[in-house]
Amino acid sequence: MVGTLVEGPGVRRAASAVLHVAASAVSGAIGGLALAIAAGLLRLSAPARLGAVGAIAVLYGAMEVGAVSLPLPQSGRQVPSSWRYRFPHPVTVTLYGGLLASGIGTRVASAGYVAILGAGALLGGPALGAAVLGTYGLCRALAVVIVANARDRDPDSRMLWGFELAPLWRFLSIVQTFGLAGAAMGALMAAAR
Amino acid sequence: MSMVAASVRRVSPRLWSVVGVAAAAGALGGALGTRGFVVGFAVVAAATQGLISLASP
Repeated sequence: MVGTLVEGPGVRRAASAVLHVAASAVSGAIGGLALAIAAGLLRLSAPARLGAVGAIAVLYGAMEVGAVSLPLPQSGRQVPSSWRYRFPHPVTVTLYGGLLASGIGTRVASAGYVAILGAGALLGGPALGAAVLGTYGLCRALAVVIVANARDRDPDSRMLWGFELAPLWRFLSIVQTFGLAGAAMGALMAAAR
Repeated sequence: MSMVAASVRRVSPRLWSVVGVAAAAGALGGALGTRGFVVGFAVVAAATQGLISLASP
């Protein structure tokens, strides 16, 4: 997938980057919108929503720490490589962005992402769901585009840079997942007073 | 239950202290800022998770 973002001269790369990032952000926002609409059908009260977000964050934070093993909402597949040959290049990079945005279309990189899915679904209405998962899609695609176009490493090792920093990502995910759990529980207790 | 307890014991005390500090800081923010803080935190966390996805190239 990364190879499609660095094909051709500068203008083509820039166009690929814009299409990939835009598709990822829009697809993430649509996914968040749909998730929040679906969660809205449950008709949970505001305290129940905060409690559910806190509980999801605690459970998947515990998975991030390594204390428990839980199912992840993912297909576990790579993006389809056949799309590179089946579609014109601009369509391919757009489709890859759209597929990767939701996180669940391929592989979930971190258990903490499930807490973000829960927050997007439960913290507010469809607009908030779109904002949360649209932000995820935007930042996910931006990170890939920036690293893929980095000039200080050879093309093969660029994406492994992210893999090499796995302990840092895990630490960040643990801190923010338990931070989210604490924030949801704190808000729940503040609302109860 | 004993499997869960054994798993919890396997995690280093230093990591649990990180978990505790993060949760306490989040709870304080949530209690002071209420729901708006949680929403803001979720958006920032979503951005960070986007970056974290680099761990799975």
